Amino acid sequence: MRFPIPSILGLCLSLSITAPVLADPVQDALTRAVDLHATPAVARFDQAATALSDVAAADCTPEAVKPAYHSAFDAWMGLQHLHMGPLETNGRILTIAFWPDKKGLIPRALADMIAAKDPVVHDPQAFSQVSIAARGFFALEYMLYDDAFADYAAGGYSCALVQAITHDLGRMAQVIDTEWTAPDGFADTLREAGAAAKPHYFTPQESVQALYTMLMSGLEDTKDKRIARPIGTFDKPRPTRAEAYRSERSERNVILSLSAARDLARAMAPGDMSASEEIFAEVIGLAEALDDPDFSRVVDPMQRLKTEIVGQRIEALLGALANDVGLPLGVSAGFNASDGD
Amino acid sequence: MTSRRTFIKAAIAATFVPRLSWADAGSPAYLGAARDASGDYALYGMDETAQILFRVPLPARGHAAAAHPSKPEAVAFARRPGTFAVVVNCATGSVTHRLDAPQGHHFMGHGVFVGDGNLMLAPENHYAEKKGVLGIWDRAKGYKRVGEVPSHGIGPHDIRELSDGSLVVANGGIFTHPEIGEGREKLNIADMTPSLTYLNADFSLAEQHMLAPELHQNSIRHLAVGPDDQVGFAMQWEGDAAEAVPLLGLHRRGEAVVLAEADLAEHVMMQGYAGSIAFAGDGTEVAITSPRGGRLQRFASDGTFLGAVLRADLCGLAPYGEGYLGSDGFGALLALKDDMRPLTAVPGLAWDNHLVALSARVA
Repeated sequence: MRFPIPSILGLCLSLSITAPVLADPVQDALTRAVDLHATPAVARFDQAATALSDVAAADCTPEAVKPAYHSAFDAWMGLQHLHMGPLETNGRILTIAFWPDKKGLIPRALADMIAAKDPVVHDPQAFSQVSIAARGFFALEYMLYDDAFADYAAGGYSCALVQAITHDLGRMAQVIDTEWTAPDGFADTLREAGAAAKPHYFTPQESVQALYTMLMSGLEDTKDKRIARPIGTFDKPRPTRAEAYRSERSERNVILSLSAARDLARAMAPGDMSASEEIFAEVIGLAEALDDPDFSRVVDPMQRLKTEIVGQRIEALLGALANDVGLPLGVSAGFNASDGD
Repeated sequence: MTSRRTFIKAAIAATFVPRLSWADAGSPAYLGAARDASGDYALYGMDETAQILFRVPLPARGHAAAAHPSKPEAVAFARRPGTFAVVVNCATGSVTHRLDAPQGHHFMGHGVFVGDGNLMLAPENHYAEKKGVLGIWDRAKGYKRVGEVPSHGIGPHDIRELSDGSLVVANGGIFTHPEIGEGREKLNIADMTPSLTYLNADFSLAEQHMLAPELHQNSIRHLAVGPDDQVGFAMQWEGDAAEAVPLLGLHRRGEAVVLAEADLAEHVMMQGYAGSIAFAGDGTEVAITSPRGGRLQRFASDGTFLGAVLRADLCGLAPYGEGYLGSDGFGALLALKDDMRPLTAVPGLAWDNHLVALSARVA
């Protein structure tokens, strides 16, 4: 206990002033992270992906679908770091966002379907079984933005393909929402840990550990993939390795992933996290100041350096979060995950 | 504490019983290295239900261990690039010998007793000459290093014995030097050439398999031996993780290597890293773990993907019941197959990469 046998007066004072502090910080972090961070993000993504599906069903042409594509992708960025439960089932995270596509599987899969006029696009159940390369946001991005695909009209095969992709996204978002929020669903599994009807984490500490891992690995992903891939090396920047550069979302996704991490950190931190807040504000400011939506300007050495600095500040942020969130909750990065052999 | 009582009882027994067997160590079924909450490292012995029987302190971070086939004795290896290994009497908890790698060599974290258990072989990085060797240690001579043989590759990591006395070695292909990057910096990724290498019982080269050229950066690291001497090997990909290459290989002497493939999403989720491998207790399947991907992937012995079980930081793996025993960095020992069931949880204990089953060969 933090307060060894306080005087009656002291107890009354501490109760009146800091009553919430007496709650179990681990359970508290867990409840807040689920109720204030994860569950609302799941619901927002469901709404936005359903809207995308509805929009495309009404008008499949690129200019009509693009705004809903962006809204749904924005909502996804509030959720995509939660590699757990319904998001992981059946590889859904990768199906929704298959990136990086190192081998160029997406354009090949789409071109094959279009060339063959594969009737699978007319059968939602069958489409949910096709390769992840032909599904999700990045397949849709090709269809809406890439010159080789985006030149299609309503009523044709590509139109039906776009409708199939958006419908499939809406369906997955809905399944995630249902599996997350249903009675004895994943939100309960997380919150109730060992006491849950369907336990996956055996103690509240394990649930918090899992969420903390998502917080940290989400930021690492942004540093190691969203930033490191396009900046490449000094001699060879790689702007076409940027995430979602075709739809000019590369910088936006960095900013949104940082915002989502801040939201989760705030929900979890049991006390003061001003050191982390300071770096969050700084690094989000630096990312916004890049003014380079598709990271195409990383070919310029100064701009590349500025982009690289965002990654370096994320590294510093990881240290601050370990102190502000990990330490007080008694959790740290995985022993084996962080240092293998 | 149970472990201490066990120690004392065992120690008293040791006074009167000159020849100890594994029964004197409480008949442990598994060994595993771990770091505890205070930051100390130790080797633990667990019974067949994964309850901890004993704890033996180690001077630094351990990796895996070689268990003697009949004596309650294990050689616990330091993690790369450690130069020490300790022989632990698992009945008394005492360290009976300390093994030091020769000048210019370091251990790789693994070793194996061969034959009736008088010789113990330990892969070493002979960094001074940039080659892999197997040190030969003689138990009857007080664990004297009596010789060495080539491993026929750089970076030998794991080693197992097959039923006919021949050996299988995972030459990881990666060269490291203890003076560069604390001995863990990879110095030859561009031209690394891992191999699965078999040696005859007299240590001569019997058979060697390289991967296809496009997979030469797939470091063959860990081994498991299943029914009829089927060898499973787990790999760690040094190329771009987005390439999502196979991480499990299966092989039988004289046959072609089979690389096991799961669906694309499962491959990507492993993050290019398999930490441990084991055959299931019933011998019908084999699994690899990825602590980074937080999952166990199960494959039939013909390489067909059977499914995944998700658990963060899962790494150590051994046969258990009809399925597997897994360990993670958060203190849990779990029974795994179609799903998972916790068996033991010690908060603050971080199980290290491997679990060693004392009956290393699956029935």
